[in-house]
Amino acid sequence: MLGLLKAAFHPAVAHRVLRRPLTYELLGRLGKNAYSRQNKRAQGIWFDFTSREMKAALRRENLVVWANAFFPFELLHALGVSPVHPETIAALAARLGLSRQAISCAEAGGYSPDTCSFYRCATGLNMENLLPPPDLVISASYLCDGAVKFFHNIARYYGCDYFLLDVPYHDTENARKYLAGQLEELAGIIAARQGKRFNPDRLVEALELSNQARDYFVRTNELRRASPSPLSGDDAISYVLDMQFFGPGSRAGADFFKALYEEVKTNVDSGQGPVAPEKLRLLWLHYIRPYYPNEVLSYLEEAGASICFGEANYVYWEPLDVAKPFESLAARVLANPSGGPLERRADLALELAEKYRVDGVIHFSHWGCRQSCGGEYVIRDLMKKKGVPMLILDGDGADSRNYSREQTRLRLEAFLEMLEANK
Amino acid sequence: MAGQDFPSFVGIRDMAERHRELISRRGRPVVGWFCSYTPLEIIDAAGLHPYRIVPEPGRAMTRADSYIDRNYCPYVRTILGEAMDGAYDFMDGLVVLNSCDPMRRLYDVWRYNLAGKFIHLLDLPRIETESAVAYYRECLLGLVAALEDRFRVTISDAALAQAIADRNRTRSLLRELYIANRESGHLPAAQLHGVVRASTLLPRDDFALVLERLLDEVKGAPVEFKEGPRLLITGSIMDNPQIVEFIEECDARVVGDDLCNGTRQFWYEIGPDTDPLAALSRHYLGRTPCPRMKDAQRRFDHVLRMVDDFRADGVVFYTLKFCDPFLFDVPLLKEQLEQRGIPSLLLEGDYTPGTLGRVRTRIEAFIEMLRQDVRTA
Ligand code: SF4
Ligand code: SF4
Repeated sequence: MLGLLKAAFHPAVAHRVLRRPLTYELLGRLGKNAYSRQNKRAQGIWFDFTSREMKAALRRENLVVWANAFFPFELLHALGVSPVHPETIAALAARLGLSRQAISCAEAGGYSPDTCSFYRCATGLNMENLLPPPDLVISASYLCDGAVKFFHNIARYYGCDYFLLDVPYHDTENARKYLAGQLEELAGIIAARQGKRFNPDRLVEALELSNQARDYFVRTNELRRASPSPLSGDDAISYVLDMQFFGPGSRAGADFFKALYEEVKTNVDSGQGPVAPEKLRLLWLHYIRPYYPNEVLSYLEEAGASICFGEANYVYWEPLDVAKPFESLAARVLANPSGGPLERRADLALELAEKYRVDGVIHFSHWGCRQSCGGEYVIRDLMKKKGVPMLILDGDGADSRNYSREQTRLRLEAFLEMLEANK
Repeated sequence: MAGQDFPSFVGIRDMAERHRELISRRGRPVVGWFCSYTPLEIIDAAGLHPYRIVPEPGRAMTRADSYIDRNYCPYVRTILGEAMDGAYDFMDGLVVLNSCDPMRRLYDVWRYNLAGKFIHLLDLPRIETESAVAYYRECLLGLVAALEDRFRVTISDAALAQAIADRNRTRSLLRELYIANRESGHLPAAQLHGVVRASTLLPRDDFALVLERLLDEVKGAPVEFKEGPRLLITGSIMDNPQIVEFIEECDARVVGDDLCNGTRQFWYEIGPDTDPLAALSRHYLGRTPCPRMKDAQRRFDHVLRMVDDFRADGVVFYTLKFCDPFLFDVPLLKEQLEQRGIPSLLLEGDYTPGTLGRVRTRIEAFIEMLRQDVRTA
């Protein structure tokens, strides 16, 4: 499917095609069918969902709201806005080979090559007028400083309002109250912009859908303890992650995680998986991986090493309490182990390494991602104390200029050899 | 150079060199701080001595290699390297603010490798709404409780009010000094920088005494400005005052700054409030913003106002490498300056003395360009 997309989106024609709502309508249908025929119903749902959102935003069917990946999307689904999530679009652009040009464009506009390439890419795509203009821009102030700044600059570019959800560091009573208050205020702001009153019933509905998705996701994650690993790392840190960010609170989100659960269950029941025989099991640390054409994951899988789990897919939040919608969304946000002190992330990594019985850990050290790179040595040391080897793999998620095939291969090769010898 | 033989500046410089001794004579526990949002008044009111950690460039950088990623804020890296070498063992505690990603990781990596010391992470909102002010007040209360508990002291409202009054005095004197020097051009910018630096090291009363004398002298000085372009520096941390010296050697003047370890520390005074913690909360969230805050335009407006007030002909952006909050501001602020006909130059520092050599030619070219602009204007 992506091959087809790629052919259609040769950079030369991309400009014209990418801005047409019809493109996404068509793609959505094609994709859904194609994936379902390959027994990839979940991926089909994702494809349809993402295309429909792009189409809605381009048609300006409702208030167009840009928001970052760590914002609780339940609220946006409850309000029925048309969300745009630039970080995913940047990852998709990288997959389609469109990121280089976009990144150069951003750099020519004064954006430093030292900043996160997802934001540089999204900035460039925006400068090239490839993205649906926002009516309102929202960002949660975590996981990184880049989010706060990138979304601000987008709002300035369009002269529209910017709402920053200021996420506290500690998870305390006060912090929850402060955060819940901001979410409630934002609900009022968006509803007013839509010319209607905020309808709490819709939020309850969204929370219920989110809980349904969560429930299937937790069960899927339990199934992922099986060997051979029943879900490919590639899928898990691409469209599954997307749905985890943007799906909760929508019908598609609930359907997606049910379908995913069923697919994974079928694999576990039949003892199948993407990597067979599975010689080594790996844990992936970071929310991202390289998305442009590269060999990192395929090399590992071909060598018999499965990425059996990634910290990104961990369900860190409790079921949402529909009686206290804003408070429980606030609690969900504050529960993210990548926020607050590093112990939270490190403890989780150790726990996952044990739970998924991994032979080794790869920390993807994405260029420009300060929040994650800053803690990698500490985590590596902790892993070492537990006897789990960890590789810090330098690289870049969206900027292929920072990818060296040979060097990456050498490092992975050496790491796998070491793991084999350890066994 | 003018001002070099300034008795009071020399006094401040000598004192700054002897700071350890002066602090120990006072016998107060020392609390290290990093970010200019740190509410020093609370540390003062606890009877502790706040001490800003800003290492000299070039020290202990490679030492940090085993503790934190190389592609990282060099301020944080240098601090970690020095800490591992025991440079801060004399301190009794640390207050770290949740200002940016590198700062919160500094807190984590420090604790992991150097356990034992009192170290408190103070959260810091990025917005300044009423609810943020209320939330931040709670966070300040948390700092009060932690200091009281650790150092067995009581921080009274009266002591806080006194500390606010004292710090406000220093703030206004420093500001006056900048403004007086803007007119007379008497103190070279690197010396002015040294005075501000001393204000973050020395016991407060010692510093206040010399500062007052220095201010009188600068106010009374004749106008000593040379011809040549006037520059304003905006940036993160100025690690190397030699950069400022070098600019002035090229016959330009650095007339003012908007730096984390410059005017951002003191430009505005804390407003009155019957509740001192509320006053602090409101002040810090509302003061001249750092790039980490949501409302970047408020920062840009401040810089533009400074350009006017200090009659600057050009602006130098000085940022440490990998400082995301600042880097994202550059394209926008540059454009706004251009719209007013103010050229700007971006310089990146990496906390090594080697920076100077690399930026030299760029500074020269920029100043030459400005000089032609000034001549043709
Ligand atoms: S990869 Fe890191 S820096 Fe980039 S958007 Fe994600 S958290 Fe932020
Ligand atoms: S220089 Fe920038 S990245 Fe470094 S501590 Fe200061 S604000 Fe943070």
